[in-house]
Amino acid sequence: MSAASSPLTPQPEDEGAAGPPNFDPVEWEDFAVFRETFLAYFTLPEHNALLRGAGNLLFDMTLAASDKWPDQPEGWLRGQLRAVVADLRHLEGFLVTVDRVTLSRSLRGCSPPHGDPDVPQDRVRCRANRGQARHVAGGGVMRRRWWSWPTSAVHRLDIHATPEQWQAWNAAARLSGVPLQVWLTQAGDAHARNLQRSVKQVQAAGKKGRQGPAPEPGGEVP
Amino acid sequence: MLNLSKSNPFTSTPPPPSGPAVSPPVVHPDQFEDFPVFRETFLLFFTDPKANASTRNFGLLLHELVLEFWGQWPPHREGMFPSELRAVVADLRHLQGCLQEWTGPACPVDGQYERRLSEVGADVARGIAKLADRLEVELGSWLEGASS
Repeated sequence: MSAASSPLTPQPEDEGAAGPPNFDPVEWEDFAVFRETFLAYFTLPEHNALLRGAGNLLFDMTLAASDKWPDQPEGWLRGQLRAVVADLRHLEGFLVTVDRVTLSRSLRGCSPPHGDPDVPQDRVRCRANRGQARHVAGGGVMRRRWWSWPTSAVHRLDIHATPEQWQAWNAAARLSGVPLQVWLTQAGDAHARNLQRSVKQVQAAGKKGRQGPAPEPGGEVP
Repeated sequence: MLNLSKSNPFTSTPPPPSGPAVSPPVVHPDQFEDFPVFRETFLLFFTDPKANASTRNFGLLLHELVLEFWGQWPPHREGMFPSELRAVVADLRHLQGCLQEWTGPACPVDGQYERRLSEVGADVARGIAKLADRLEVELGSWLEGASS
């Protein structure tokens, strides 16, 4: 199947991207399976809806089958609360990371992913949202020892993207115009893998003579 | 020859548990990427160790596959970072709803200890609601800024 006809490839007529839903907490069972931080990757509305539907089916089948499995070892209430704590810890880690990554991104200028011209370029608002992320990560499940930035933000980039990787990537980005932010929204090992992959992709694209817009301002090694 | 009785849901018997029941894991925030896809409030039902591990491994595979491809999908209109925060708000709302129901009158508790645990859970649900409200308000102001 060619890339142009792949159902996973966005077509030119694709317009709106599916975003995270806004829902009443009492409807939590309609959003029971997949994390929204995972579903946020699925921006094609039909894919997003399909996965949500599959999640609901999986949830119903799991509920129907769960009486065949043993009870929670400590009882259901303790098990439920432990699960909530685990999910909160996950969100804490997620927020800490997006906060660091976005800060490091802001050090290079706060421009929107994919170079979308409709998104506000207001750095103050970017900072305001970062502040909220930090607050939420720090609230309820807070551990202040996580906060040592902005040094940590740069340090994290030093670990996961060496200066050589950055230079190679930026050189390739100039040729291909691949937006910088796409890869910066990944974190940890996934970030490093994506960065290396993006270097290869844009270098290959550069060899083919593809030209694109210049990379975002300040997208160089700190 | 195909044994039809094995595939008949009315005659099959469930397999015995593969081991002792498993509890939700302790998640270190720095390792959040090891738990990327399924909610722990969902995996909670998978007390069978084999079923639990299989589902987690499937989630990891799914995440890897998505990381390979997601850059080809259209961008979020307001940018990835605000969308990530909206996803966090939605996940917080989910946890708020879970806690409110599990610690509410629909789920009676057994004994003084569970009553205390339930009260703490209900209080945490209110705290989560405040955090989600605060982030949601700021994200709203972002949108207003974009439209002005």
